[in-house]
Amino acid sequence: MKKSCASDINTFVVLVLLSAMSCEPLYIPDPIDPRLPKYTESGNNVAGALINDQLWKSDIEYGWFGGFYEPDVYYIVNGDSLVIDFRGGMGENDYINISFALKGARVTNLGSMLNLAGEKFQLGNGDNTVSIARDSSCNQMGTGQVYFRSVKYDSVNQIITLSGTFGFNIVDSVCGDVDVTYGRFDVRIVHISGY
Amino acid sequence: MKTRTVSDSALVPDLCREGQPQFAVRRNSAETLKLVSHFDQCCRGIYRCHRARLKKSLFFTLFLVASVADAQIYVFVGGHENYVRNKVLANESPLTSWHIGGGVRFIFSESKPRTVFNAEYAFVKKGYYQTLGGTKSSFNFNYLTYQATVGQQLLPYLSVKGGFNFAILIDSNLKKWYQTYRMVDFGLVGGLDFLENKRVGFYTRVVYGLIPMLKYDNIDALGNFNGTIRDLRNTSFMVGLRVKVYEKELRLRH
Repeated sequence: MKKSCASDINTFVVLVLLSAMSCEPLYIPDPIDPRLPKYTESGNNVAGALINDQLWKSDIEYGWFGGFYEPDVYYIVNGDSLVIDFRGGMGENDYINISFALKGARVTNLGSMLNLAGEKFQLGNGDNTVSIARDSSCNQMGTGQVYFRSVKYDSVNQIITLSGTFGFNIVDSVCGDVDVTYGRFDVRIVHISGY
Repeated sequence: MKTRTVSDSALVPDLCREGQPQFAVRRNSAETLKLVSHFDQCCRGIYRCHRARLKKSLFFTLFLVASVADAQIYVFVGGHENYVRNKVLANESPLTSWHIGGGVRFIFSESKPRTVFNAEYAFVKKGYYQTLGGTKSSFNFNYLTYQATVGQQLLPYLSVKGGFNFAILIDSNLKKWYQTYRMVDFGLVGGLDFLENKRVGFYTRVVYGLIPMLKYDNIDALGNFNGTIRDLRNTSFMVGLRVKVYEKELRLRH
């Protein structure tokens, strides 16, 4: 019995370590603005942007390892809409999510995310939206664009490498105006949900 | 001699792609030349080859120096301030660092004893700083350089020199630097040599890079791609101490 328990613990530790390693971001500084991650299309598991000229990034330091929050991706009503939710922060305990809701993306499973390749979505036009959520009191929506410049599909390992850029601004008299500039992401996605 | 299997040789292109040709050669140096041949094939046209080629040219030069008895050999060490001329960086500042190397000096002919040719190899640490949002970032680039210069002695203690500078980027403090920065740098060099005929002398140099070291997407604030940025050219102001290690005044054979 003891042996079985130890084996379970070992398995759990190995899985945790593998999970941490698989999500480890490769943060290559941008050669123009080293605060930002360099734009890449290699699945480096990084996303970054300047929010009011302060760095927002998706790789968060936590525990001993640090890590990366893989974006949540889910489609609604048979691919009519696609939601991509990037989780990240601007410092310790300052978590901010950037969420894109895109209409007509034609995505119903992982492989069909290839339909996003080369697509540039205008945000804030009624169909497509972007919002940032800092806390429950401020969920702001903006206008701008998101560009999926490269989408690669590894059908053997069932991994999508999604790379692109975004930028938008929010005019909000209550919570304050927000400029999100030089946004970029290069992430590996292994799971997509449907609702 | 140990030979390698086909599956082993298939690893070599991966090593090349990962930018570790030196590792590939070193690890297999005691093994068959077949693997080195694979390495050469897979590296053809890839920047990683430059380091291996530079090593070959270094050996060639040493052979040349050894075969030509009429030469002066010296070593030098010094400091320099490196700037990057550019139109894309904000709040960058120069990096002060060091260099070390050796060279050989020839006299063209007995009829022109004051005109000399210098071939110098050096290890040079270049780079710059950039301060944005209160964060200071350092960009370090280590080069192996070859300078070929022609000098003219103006006064007994003063010579002026000019020529070209060829450099190969071998390392950096940045991750995946070889995917962003050009491996080869070329520029002009000019300077003054003091007390060149003494055992110990001093020198100043200005190296003016001509080739942009950065090649990167031009991405605007909204995320549009507007072509490619080719920018960042090195400029170095160097001073240093030169010591002759082979002092006999020698001439080229005719």
